Amino acid sequence: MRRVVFFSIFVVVITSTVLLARLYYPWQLSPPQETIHIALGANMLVVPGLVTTMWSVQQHTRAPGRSLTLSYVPPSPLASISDFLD
Amino acid sequence: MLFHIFVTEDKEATAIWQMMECMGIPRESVARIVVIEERDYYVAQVRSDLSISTNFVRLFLPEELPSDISKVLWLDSDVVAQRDLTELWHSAFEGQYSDFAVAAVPRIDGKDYEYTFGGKINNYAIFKHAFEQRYPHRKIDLSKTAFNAAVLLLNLANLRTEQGRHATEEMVWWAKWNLETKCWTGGSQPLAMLLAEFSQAGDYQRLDPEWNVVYSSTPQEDWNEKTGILHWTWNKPIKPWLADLRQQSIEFWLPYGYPVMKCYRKLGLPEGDI
Repeated sequence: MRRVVFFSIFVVVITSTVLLARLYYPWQLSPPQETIHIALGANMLVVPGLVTTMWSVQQHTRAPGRSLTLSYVPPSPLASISDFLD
Repeated sequence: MLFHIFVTEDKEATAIWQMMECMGIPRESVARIVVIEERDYYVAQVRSDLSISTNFVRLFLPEELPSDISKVLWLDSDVVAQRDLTELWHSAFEGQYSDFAVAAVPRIDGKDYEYTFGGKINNYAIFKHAFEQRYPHRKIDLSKTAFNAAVLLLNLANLRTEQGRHATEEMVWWAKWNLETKCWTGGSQPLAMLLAEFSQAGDYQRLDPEWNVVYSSTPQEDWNEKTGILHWTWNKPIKPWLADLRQQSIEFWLPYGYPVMKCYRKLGLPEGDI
């Protein structure tokens, strides 16, 4: 009986160790991702440009589980500006 | 990826937070929005839009950003990224360029230092004479191709060394000098070139041209939706967010700028000419 208990504990410990190692191994192998620091500057009249720059960077910079979300449809050449923005 | 934003007034910071919320840009992607003070010696009285502190702050990022940030990418607000910037980020200050402090894209029109330090009236000789007087034993090669500072990578760790601080001090000296002489008119651009000149490497690292393709009214092969960064410079045409949306010149800006402008109008933020 004692042997069975020891053997069971042994199996549980080994299995847990292997599973934990498998879980953390890829994480341990990949180096921490370097943060890209981006500086921007604007006064009030440049704010639309600044946010557009930020938005474009956000759309393309690699991030796990993120996909490109551009949903823009080119305007018709006959439409007026107010059709797009108002 | 973290953004560090510099503005001149609190209301601009508020507008940016509002715009971010409207666009769904996560707040945690912005490390800080800093309201910077006007500094007299930054202001070359040539063009109002080039004279504001937010144009010059790029040159002082080693002081303005926390000391644990060793590298930064400055982007002007008239550019859009069309590709992941990771490749650009890793192309700077690596290998043989590890001692460089400044990395940028050379001007596509090939204009040189002589042009940049001469301004429109071509008075580079005044600068050259003053340079030789200040540094009798130092040469500056004015035939080098100038760079455009709209996309600028700075090696902050390098610029915080003794040599780097010296480069910044010399750059400020020339900024003040230019206030009196009005030798050049290019805002922060000539100063960025001087920063590179006085840095440890004595030059700037040339980046791949696709990371700062400037709009031209004549057809350009690399002005397309695959290029890394597109740049709408100040005079031709007007800034994209002020342009008629049907303008051909902003067709590559609109996929990003259109939703932004929708939010901008929705929030009722002020509009006008720059």
